[in-house]
Parts: sequence; structure tokens; C-alpha cells
Amino acid sequence: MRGSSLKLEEKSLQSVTRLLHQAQVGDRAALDELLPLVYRELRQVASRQLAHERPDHTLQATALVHEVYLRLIDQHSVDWRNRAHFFSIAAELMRRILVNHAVSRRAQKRGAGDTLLSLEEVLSFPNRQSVDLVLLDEVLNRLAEFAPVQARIVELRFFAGLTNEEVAEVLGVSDSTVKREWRSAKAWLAAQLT
Amino acid sequence: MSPDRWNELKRIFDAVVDLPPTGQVSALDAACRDDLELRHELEKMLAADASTALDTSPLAQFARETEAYGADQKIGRYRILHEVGRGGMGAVFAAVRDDGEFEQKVAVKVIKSGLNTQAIVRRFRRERQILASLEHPHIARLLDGGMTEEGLPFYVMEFVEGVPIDEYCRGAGLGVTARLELFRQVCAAVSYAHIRLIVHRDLKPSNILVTAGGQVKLLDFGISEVLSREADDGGRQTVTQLGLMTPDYASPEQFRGEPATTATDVYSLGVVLFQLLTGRLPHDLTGLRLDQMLKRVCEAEPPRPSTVGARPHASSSAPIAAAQGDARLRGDLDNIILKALRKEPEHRYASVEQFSEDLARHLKGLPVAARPATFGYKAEKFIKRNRVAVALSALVLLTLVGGIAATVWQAVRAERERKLAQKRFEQARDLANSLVFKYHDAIANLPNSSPVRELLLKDASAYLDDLAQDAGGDPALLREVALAYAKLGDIQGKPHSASVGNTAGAIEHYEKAAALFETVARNSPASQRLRANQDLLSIYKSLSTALARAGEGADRREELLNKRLSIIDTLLAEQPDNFALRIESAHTHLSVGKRRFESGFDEGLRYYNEHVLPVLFEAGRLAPEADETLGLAQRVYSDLGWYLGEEGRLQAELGEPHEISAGYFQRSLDYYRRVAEIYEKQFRANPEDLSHKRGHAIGIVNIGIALRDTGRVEEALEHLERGRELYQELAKFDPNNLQAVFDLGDLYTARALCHVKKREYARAVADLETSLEHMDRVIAADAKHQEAISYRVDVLLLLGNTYAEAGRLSVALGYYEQAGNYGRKTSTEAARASVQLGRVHLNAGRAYAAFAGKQSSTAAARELWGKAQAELQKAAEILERARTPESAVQLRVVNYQLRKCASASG
Repeated sequence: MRGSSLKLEEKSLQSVTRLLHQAQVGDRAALDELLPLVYRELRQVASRQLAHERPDHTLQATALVHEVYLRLIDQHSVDWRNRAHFFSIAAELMRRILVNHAVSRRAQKRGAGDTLLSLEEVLSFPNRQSVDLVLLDEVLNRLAEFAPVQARIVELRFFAGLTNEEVAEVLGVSDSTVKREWRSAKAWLAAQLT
Repeated sequence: MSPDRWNELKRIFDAVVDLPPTGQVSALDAACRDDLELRHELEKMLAADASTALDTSPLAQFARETEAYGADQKIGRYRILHEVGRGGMGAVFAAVRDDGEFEQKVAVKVIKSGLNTQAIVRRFRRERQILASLEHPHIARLLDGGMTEEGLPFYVMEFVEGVPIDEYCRGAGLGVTARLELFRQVCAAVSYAHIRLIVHRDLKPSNILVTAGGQVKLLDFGISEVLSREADDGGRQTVTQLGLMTPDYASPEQFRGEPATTATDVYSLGVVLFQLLTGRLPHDLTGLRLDQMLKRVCEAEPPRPSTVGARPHASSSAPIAAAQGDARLRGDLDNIILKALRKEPEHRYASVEQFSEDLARHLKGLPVAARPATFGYKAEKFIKRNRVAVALSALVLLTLVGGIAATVWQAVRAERERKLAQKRFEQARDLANSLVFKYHDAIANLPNSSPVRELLLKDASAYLDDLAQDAGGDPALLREVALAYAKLGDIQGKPHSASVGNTAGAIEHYEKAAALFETVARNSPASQRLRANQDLLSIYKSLSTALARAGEGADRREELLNKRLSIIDTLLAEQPDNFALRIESAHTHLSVGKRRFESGFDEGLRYYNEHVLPVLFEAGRLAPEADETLGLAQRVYSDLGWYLGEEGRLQAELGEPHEISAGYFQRSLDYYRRVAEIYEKQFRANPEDLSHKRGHAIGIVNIGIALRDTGRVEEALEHLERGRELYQELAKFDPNNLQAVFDLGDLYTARALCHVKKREYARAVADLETSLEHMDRVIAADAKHQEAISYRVDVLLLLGNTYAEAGRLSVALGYYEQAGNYGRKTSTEAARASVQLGRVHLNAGRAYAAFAGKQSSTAAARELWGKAQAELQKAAEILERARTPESAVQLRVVNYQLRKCASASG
């Protein structure tokens, strides 16, 4: 089962590339169409890790996004060799995936009534997710109103898990700028979240 | 926020963030100057700079949760051989040290994300020596600890080849004796650690392994402690105490979040033994929510072990042939296990050693220390549930067993235990009462007593909740509990006394008291009815005051006032000469009068003249020098002084001729002088009493304010200075006295307005800022302090007005905006919020209008008039919607300003 579903079929690969193109020029509908595809890939990468398929591989946030990138992009399509473009779109997608996920988890918890989460989960990790992603999403929208660049940095770093250097590459600015801007943006956000 | 504003914020943040804390303060002073909002925002950001909340991408966490270490990967200095297992806490790997020095096989446990890694690693370092000092053949040694490259905490233990103790017993087919002997090895190890004051806190079969050679090894000793304790250095809580326990084996105190002690381990060992001997757990918690588990573990008595083994569905896991097991367990073993499982730690074995010793005596056929759960033990619980019924049922019991010789002894013993239990109950009640009544009063007016009192309150409150439950329907007992709740409420929120500052807590306790008093009143015989009604009167009053203070429950307050009036009328009809009742009646009328004032000055004044003053004079005739009379007079005159002053200010705002408002101010001053006389008399009589000292100060300050309004500014300043000295003495006496902080803030505002009259704007601004700081301190200590919160809005408006008068319109507008924002953010009542917002626009409009009047160019003037009108119209719109008496008054002022605008502009 694993083997056959690992690579997207040729046909859908082309459509992903097309959707990414459209998303890059601001087509929101294209982003919506991409969402389930990227989400499926994320899940697959993670479940493959769970199944120890590649035991030598330590998965990290950046690696996860990179891997999704490799799987989604038609390597023969010259236009999409530019990783920066992909990460730019991917960050927004990751944000939406994670926030949607948080929203649905919240709804599940509220509606769950007596269906219990696993005991160890409840008891061992009351603070598992230290940030309320739904709230963060709102606050980040506010930040974007007066500091669009910094909001972008937060999206790339926090939601797509990119390093400062990678963010700098995507945005075409210096590493030190990213570092500085990230720090003040982070402090402002954290202050709003407390 | 505007992008410019953000850039300024960012620029300052970048410049100061790496400075030492003291440097930050002065840098902020210089950078923000009088922009308080900016400064506040920056302080929040600087405080949040240390936050690690956004350091880890949720993707990384997502990834980590599914992360696996494979063979030959390294964690710290350790090379992984293979994974041993994983669970809620994280994963365990078999590994060896990688530096080739030792070939010792170790177990590496990696803790999943979700905990504060930094704090855990620091604590590991601190405690490693203590934990590593646990050298015992039955305890797996802790070798090392650290942080993985991915930032997860890990620790390293001696690798144990073994299986969990329950599995081992099953697999080896051990009988009861062999199981007990094995279990005593466990006890020996736990005992060894307890002597070194290390508690395990998470004893369970999966932490108790047995090697192939039949040797016990305990894992994770002290680990749960390290992972659970609050991070003292970061100040953040990492995991609640509840966080790291295994519900099946956790003691009642762990469920309640109380600190774990050696008795906690005794309990968990009891559960383990129960399980080893019966194959079942004392409490079946499957499918329960946490609160249900807590209830079961803390309240339900576990079954006797000998009665559970034979149940059919346990047979698959039952370790011992049911018949053999049950017979063996009945008696001693039942008693021993149940003693370990007592709810109250003090009823369990005092140590694991004693627990083990009792097992040894059982094995040798000697009598054991554990008794069956005694009648006394049960009686105590029962008595707690129903004190009155106990006397009866104990009698019945005595009669029943009286003739049976064999049980006489137990009956005698039961009677003794019952008496003891009842005595204990009464002792608890007495203690709660003395805590609340005697000790608190004794220290209440001492300097610096607030922290001690706060502690006292917390303990007392817990006692009372217990007692209220235990009291059943006994009216006398209920009344005592209610009185104590009321006292607690007084202490937490009574205005005009050194309060610990918790209005919400006060309301809660008053409500509890009121509910109990109502029950008492309903069930009281005629002879007790007067007292019950008086209790009700007094609690309703306290509750109303507290609610008013919190700016809450307008409807509830109205309801309480009506209840009071009807009780008083009933009582006065019975005893017309009762002086105390007259006073009470006067105070209640006073409250009604205040409400009348809210709906209109003339109406209020009439009510005071017709209802309040006559009662005051009557009281003065009956007992002219009584404290009650003086207190009443002081309140009536204060109210009149205040409302007259307010009306004077309103008339001035409405542009009425000077003589009219001057008349009000003069009458206000007259009343305040009378109040000050009373206060001074009380103060002279008892100079050590803090509340009289405060009264004396208030008297002087109010005269100062009235003098200012009548235009005698220099005299006013002298009075205010004297008031300030007195307030400061009060504040110094007890730095936690919030009332003194508030009073001082109020005084600085009063002084600022004197400066404004003298056109000394810089001084006025400085005083207003000081006032703002004082209000912030009050709010920081008591977030529900409505008086301080709305006062803060007023001070912001006054800052705006002062800047406007000083000719700095843009700064003024900034303050109005701040006032609006703060008011919006903090208002709990929509109507109040509207009035506040309306006032903000009114003030802004007035400021624009004042500037328009000064313009020489007609174009500029026209623009400003336009803005003034826009603000005023906005104010009118908002106030019209609010429809409260206060909004109606403000609306009059707005309309007056609008008319002025219209005629001036055009």
C-alpha cells in the first residue's frame, strides 16, 4: 500500500504544478484546491516515519516541508525549480492546514462529551500544544495589517519551519534582517497571546 | 496600529532589548517620554521576549511525535542499539556509551515534547547527584541526563533486563507467599529511598521490573519529581502536579493536586499489592473522565481484596487460583492492603517499612498491626455526613448490640470513637471560627499583616466549605458557618478597611453566607426570627456594597435593597423604639436616596430632605454621641457634599452663570466641614485606629476639593498637602493596603486640578501621571477593582483636557483615544461603557471647539469646528443609545456644547 501511493500520479503532478502557478499569481481558489493535496502528503510523510520505513532518517519540520516539496513538484518543470516560490506558497498552506487542524480538534473536544482521549495523553501532556494556533492565526492577521513583511517571516519560520537562512533566501533579504525582524515580531505576538 | 507606530515600536524594541533590565528602564524613559501606551506596549514585548512559545514550529512537534531513533543513531554520548518501547511520556532505547570507555548497556529515555526542556535539564543537573546517590540493589541507577540535538530532554538509567512485576508473577505462577516476598523487596527499595527523602510518586508494575534471577529493580526513582515540579527559575509552570501520574495507581492527594509524600508511595504500593494478589485494581477507572476518577478515588471505599478475586471476568487475569487466593486474603491481608489504601495519608502506614513489617508478621503467623477498618473510622465519616442523625443511630446501635456479649467491646469502643469523632468535628469548627474571628481581628489593624491574613483566609475558606457540607440541616451550625463566610467576605473586600483586595472572592463568600442565612431564617423558630432577620439585613448590605464595588449585578443590588426595606419595615412595626433598627432603616434609605440622585439631582435632594435627614435627626435626638449616629451623619453629609459639588460642576459645564455653581460649591463645602468635624472627633478619640485616621484624612481632602471649586486654590492646596501626609502614613503602615494606594491616587488628581486652575500645566500632568500609576497598582493587585478601572479612564480624560488647555491638541487627542480604548477593553457593563465612550467624544469635541475659538484664520477655525461637531455628535449618538440616568446628564452637556458650537461657527 505504501509503495503505490507514495508518488503522486503523473497527471495530478501536473495539476499541482499548475495550481502552484496560479496560487503564486494570487489565485485564492488555487490555494484552496492545493490544500487537501498538501495535507495528504504531510500525513503520508509522517505516517511513513511512524512505520520506520527509513529508520536512519530523523524528521524535522524543515525536512518535512522539503520532502513535501520534492513529492509535489514536477522536477521536470523548469519554472518550479525555484524553491523560494514553493516555500512562499507552502508556508501559507502549512499555516492553513495547522490552523484548520487546531480548529477541528477544538470542535472535536467540545463535541466529544464522554469520548475520552487516551488517558496518558490527557494526563501526561496538559500543555502539549503550547500555542493556541487559532488565536495566533488571528493575531498574525492583525500583524499583517501594519507589518506585512514580518507577518510573512513568522509564517515561514513558525508554520513552515524554515530556518532564518531559508527565510532570508525566500524573501531576498539578509540573514541578520530576518533574525532581527523575527525577534520583535515574535515578542509582539507573544505579548498579544498572553 | 499604524505602520509608522509599529516602526517606532520596533526601533525602540531593537535598541533596548539587549540592555540589562535597569538600562532598559532608563532607555524606555528617554524613548517614550509621556507616551504611556507606547511604553506599555514595549514593556509587554520585552517581557515576552523570553517566551519560547513560538520557537518550535507546530510542524516540528508534529514530526517529533512520530519521530523514531534508529540503530546507531546517537543521543548525547550514547549510541542506540534498538528501541525498547514507547508510551505517553516518550520512548525508551537500549544504548551503549559511545566513547568506548565503558561497554555498559544503558536505557535512554527521551521525553516527548510538551515539557519545558530547559527547566527540566537544569533540574536534572541539580538533582542528578542526589538521584545518582541512590545505590541499592533493587533500584536501577540513574546515570546521566541531557538534551537531544532536537531539544528534547532525556535521561539515562542502568539497563534492566526484566519484566513488569505483575507479568513476572503470572508467568512464574507464583503463590501468595512468593508474591509477598517479592513485594517486600520492592518495599525495601522504596524504604531505602524514603530515608533519603526521595519519593517515587509513580510506582506501578511497569516501573517495577523483575529480572530472570527473581531480583526486583525499580525504575525512574525521583524522575516524576524532576519532571513535575514547577520551574522555579523560569517562573513558568511546566506540567501540573496532576500531569505526571498514572491514575490507576495515584493516591487521592495526587488527584487533588497536593504535594506527594512518602505516604503517597505507600498508597501506590497498596494498589500494586492489591493487583498482585487479586489480579484487579481497587478502583476500576476505565472510561471515566478525570473528575469522575477523582471522585471515585477520593470518595469510594475500595472493596476488600478477598471479595474481588472470584469475580468471573477477572478470571482470565487472576493470578492465583481463586479459591486459594480468597481464603488466604481474608483477614490480615485484607486489613493490611486496605490500611495502605486509606484516603487520609495519616491513616495509612506511617512508613513503607511498617507496611513491609506487617507483611512479614503475617508471613510468620504473628498478629498484624492493621485492624479492620474500625467502626470509629467509618463513624467519623458518617458523623461528618450527618451530625444529628448520629446521636440517634448510635443509640439504636447500642440497643441492638447491647445484649450480645461478643460485640459489647466493640460497641463501647464505637461509642468512644463516636465521641471522639464528634469532638474532632467541633474542634474543626472552633478552629475555623477562631481563625476567622479572633486571630484575624487581632492582626487586622497591625502593619504589614496582609500576607499572613491572605493565608489565613485561604485556609479558613477551605474549612468552611467542608463544614457547610457537614452541617446538614442544623440551623445553629449553619448560622455559625454563614457568619464565618460573611467575615471572610468582609476581610476580602470590605471597603474602607485595610483590604487584601479580592472583590470577587468577597462576593463569592457573601453569596454563600446569604444562601445559608436564608435557609436559617426559613427554619428558625419565632424566638430566633429577629436574629435571623438581622443576619439577613447585614449580609444583604455587605453583598450590595461588594457588588457595587465590582460594578456588577445592578439587578441583584436592586433586589437586595427591596429585600432589606421589607425586612426592616416588618421589624420596625414590631419594635418602633429599636435604635439599631432606626439606624439600619436610615442606611437603607440612604441607599435608596443615592439611587434617586442617580436619576436626577432634584429628586435625590428631595428624598434626602424627606426621608434621610429626618431619620438622622431622630437618631441624633435618641443618642447624639453614639458611634452609629456619628457614622450615619458622616455618610449623609458626605453624600450631600458630594452631590452638591457634582451639581455645581454640571451647572458650570452647562454654562450657567458663575453664581449658580458657586452656590452649590459653598453648600458642598459646608457639608464637608461638618463631615470633617465628625471624622476629627472620632480620630482624636482613637488615634491608633486606622479607619478613623483615614476618615480624618478624607475629611480634610474633601474640604480641599470643595475649596478648590469655590476658587480658593491656595487654601485648597494646603488642605490637600495635609491629606497627602496622612494618606502616606497609612500607606507606609501597610504597603499592601490597596485602599491607601487608591486614596493617594485620588489625591494626586485633586491636586492636579488645582494646578490646572493656576495654569501650571506641567505640574498638573506630573500629578495626573502619578495618579495613573497608583490606579495601575490597584488594578494590578485586584483586576476587578471597578472603581480604580473607571477612575483610570477619568484620569486619562483629565490628562487630555490638561494638554488641550495647555495648547497641545494632538497630545490631548492621543489621551482621549487611549481613554476610549481602555474603557472599551475593561468595561463589564455595556451601559457604563457607552457613557464612558460618550464622555471621551464629548471631551475631544470640547477640545476641538476650544481650539477653533482661538484660530485667527477662518478656514482653520471652520475645519476645527467641523471636527468638534463630529465628535460631539458621535458622543450624542452613543449616549442616546445608553439610556441611563448618567448618560442623560452627559447628554445635556453634549447638547449644550453642540449649541455653543453651532452659534460660534455660524
